[in-house]
Amino acid sequence: MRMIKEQPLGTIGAIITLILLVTGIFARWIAPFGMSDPHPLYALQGPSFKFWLGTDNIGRDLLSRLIYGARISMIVGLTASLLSVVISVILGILSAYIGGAFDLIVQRFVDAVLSVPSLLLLMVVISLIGTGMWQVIFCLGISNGIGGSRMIRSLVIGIKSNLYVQAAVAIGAPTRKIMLHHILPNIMAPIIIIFSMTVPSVILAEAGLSFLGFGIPPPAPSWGGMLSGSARKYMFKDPWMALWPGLALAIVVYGVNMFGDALRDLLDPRLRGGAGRYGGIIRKRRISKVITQENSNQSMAVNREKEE
Amino acid sequence: MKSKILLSGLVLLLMASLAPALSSCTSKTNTTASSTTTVTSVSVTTTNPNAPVYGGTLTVMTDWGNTDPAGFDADLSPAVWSTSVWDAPFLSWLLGGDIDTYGPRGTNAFAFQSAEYIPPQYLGGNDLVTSWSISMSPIVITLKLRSGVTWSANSTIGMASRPFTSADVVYSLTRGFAAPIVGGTYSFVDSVTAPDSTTVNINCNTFNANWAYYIGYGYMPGMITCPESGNSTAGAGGEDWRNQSSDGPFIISNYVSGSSVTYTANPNYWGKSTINGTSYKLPFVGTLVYPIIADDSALVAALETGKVDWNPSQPLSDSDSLKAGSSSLIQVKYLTGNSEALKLNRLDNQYLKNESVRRALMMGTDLNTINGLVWPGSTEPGFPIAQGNPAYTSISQLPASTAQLFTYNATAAKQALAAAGYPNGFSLTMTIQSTSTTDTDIAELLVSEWAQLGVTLTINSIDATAKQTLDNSRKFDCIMESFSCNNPIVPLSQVESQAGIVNLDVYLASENFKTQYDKMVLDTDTATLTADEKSLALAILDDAGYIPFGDQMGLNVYQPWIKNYYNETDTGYHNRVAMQAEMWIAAH
Repeated sequence: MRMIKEQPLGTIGAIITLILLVTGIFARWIAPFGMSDPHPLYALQGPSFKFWLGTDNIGRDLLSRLIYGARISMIVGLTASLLSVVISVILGILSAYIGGAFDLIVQRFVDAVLSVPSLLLLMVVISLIGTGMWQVIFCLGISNGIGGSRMIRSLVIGIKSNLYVQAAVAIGAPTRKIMLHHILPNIMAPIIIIFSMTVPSVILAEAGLSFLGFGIPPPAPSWGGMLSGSARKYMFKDPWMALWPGLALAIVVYGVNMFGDALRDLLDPRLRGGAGRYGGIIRKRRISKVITQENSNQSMAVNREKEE
Repeated sequence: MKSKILLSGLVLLLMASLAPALSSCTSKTNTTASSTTTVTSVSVTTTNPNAPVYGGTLTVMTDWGNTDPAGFDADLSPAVWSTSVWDAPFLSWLLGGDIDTYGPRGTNAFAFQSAEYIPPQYLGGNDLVTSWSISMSPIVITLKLRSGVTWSANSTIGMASRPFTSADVVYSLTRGFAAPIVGGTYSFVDSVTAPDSTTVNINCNTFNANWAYYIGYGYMPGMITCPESGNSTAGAGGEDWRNQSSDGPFIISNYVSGSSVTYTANPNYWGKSTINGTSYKLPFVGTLVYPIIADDSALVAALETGKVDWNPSQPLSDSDSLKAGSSSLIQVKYLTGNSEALKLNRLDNQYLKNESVRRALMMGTDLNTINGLVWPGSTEPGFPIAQGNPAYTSISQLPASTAQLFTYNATAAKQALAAAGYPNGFSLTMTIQSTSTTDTDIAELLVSEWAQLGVTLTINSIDATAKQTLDNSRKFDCIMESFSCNNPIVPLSQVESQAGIVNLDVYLASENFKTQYDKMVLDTDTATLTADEKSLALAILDDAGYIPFGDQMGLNVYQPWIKNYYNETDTGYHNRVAMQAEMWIAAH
């Protein structure tokens, strides 16, 4: 309720995310046709009563492929982001808490990974291990996870110096317990935020890889894959082939981003005192409303005094 | 003050309103003038609409027109300098297709469209070789050369004009055969000798039925250069275009890196063309320009605005936008001879080594639908021999047992699979190249079609290098291959499989095929060679080791003012010079 009130865009983002989830989970029941069912007689047709979003060059229903594509985006987005966060948390906490030479080695390794253009790195790794959904998830999860560990590390370094952590160390609490019971709960909010922010970037990265032919292999209808190949070939003849997956990607990435932003504003303790970015606007409006009310009360009082 | 400003404004407005009227008066004057010119031109045209016109500039795209020839290394290649290696309008070739006699302007026996390979019976014309003979013991190919051909003078290399002789051919072929880029292609040749000034002997250790292609017109050594030019190119870099002497229809006159190469008509060219009973000296156009255009959309714009007169290799996907951009452009679709076929591993795969299974899969493939969707207009298979070749057999002429493979029948296919012991089907992996949209489309259609037979097809989409490695290792179930099927011997050849292009070793493991193949490559007689090619192609189709898809379509685009052109695209491997020499530009 607080989100709906204070984060209208975030709420829209949450609805879009929910639609993505529902569409992905129930794709089989929602899609009017199978994702690979060709209808040769209806190839390259625009939206019609039978095919709501039109058909592609081999006569497949674009709506059905878009719906099945949502499932891929959802699975890749959530799974790769989860893997990425797990890797970030493990690397970040260990590196920050243990410190010393271990931290130095881990951070130089992170530097090395970050210094290579991520798309290039992904393409090389996928060329070696082969294309496929799990390969894409694995690559995106690991590459994002290594990069994200830098943020977790800086959070843990701040928390490590708190008195309650030092007290736990002083009473002889085991390191594992300190990490799991004293540090991890205190970085939970940023972890959730990092997760929500990683989802759209992973969806986009998967689309980019599929567009380049390194992502989800056919016939699975990845949105990025739908944008490349024949969609490019028939761009002028049948713009629907590229329009719908492009639009779906833009909307979903925007929605999940807005949702993540709103979560950050709601969960970040530093922003909790205020009302966050959008809440700030509402708060300003409220304040200005109060001031206006006060001014009008004051002027009424002045008028009354004058009248008296 | 205010009234002055108002008055000035009114004057300006008046002038502005009068301007269009004045300008329309001027236009009228111009229109009148141009009408007069047109009348003159029409009166000439009416007298003889087919009369050749000399002069003018012809701007054509070559197949390598998107690449600047500055990067060309003469030391690596058999060619000394060329705009784009193959199209060398300043040089004559040993052999080439005879478009005047056999093309659409003659008997129309051969279309010369996408004809990187010319059946031997259609060779000849404006080429350096007038006849040839073959002796088998020892193996010698004897070429009789044209007399009356001259090399143009070139002051840059201090060369005076002189006659062309057999010594030029010996120099050029010897240089070409040894060029690092050709590898072992010419290992069948021992030496090249010249018994007299118009005869050349090519002494071979093995006969190669494809000799005319490799030596005459398909590979660069057939493009003859003189020693004066060849020797002066070493280390000359991009400037060596100035060192060339010409025996072809044009002479290089300018090259601007990244922009264009310009040729002018060679006044001493010996080629002639007979039109309506009158013999004309070639070439007709005064200037020939090869522009360098790297971007496809820039090329489309150049065609639409008339900056480029002819491009025989425009991507087919540009057809609609060109139609919308310029309705006057002439577009001709043609079969390229390039085909896709799904190669089934007939030796190592437990299911596919069974011929009945392979035949069932082919019957369960709706080739008409796939071809119609992927290459609209292409219904006949182009593999292993392209349509138009004398060795090609159309579906209607195939033996019944082979023809039934081309008739889609999912029920019969399922029954055949059940009879072969697979009533519930099986699983296969199909490997395709990830960047190929056609491969992807075909694979996706096959997934759905074979699912009806109970065969679960998984697509393995990988990059070109990984695919080639997999292909060579033979560790695949089935793999999509691209074939250039214009030259029948190439896809039928083991040599090409060693080069990693086409891998037919699955057939060469068959003793019967090997015997037929070994006989074919020694055929010296054209009719026997054609019959053997046909027989081998039928054996491959009947065995269903490959599922052949349609012949790919190409797009030939040219301006309406190009005359004396009959839609030919090649008289050799990407060689368009013969057509360029015969074209003329009508007034436009």
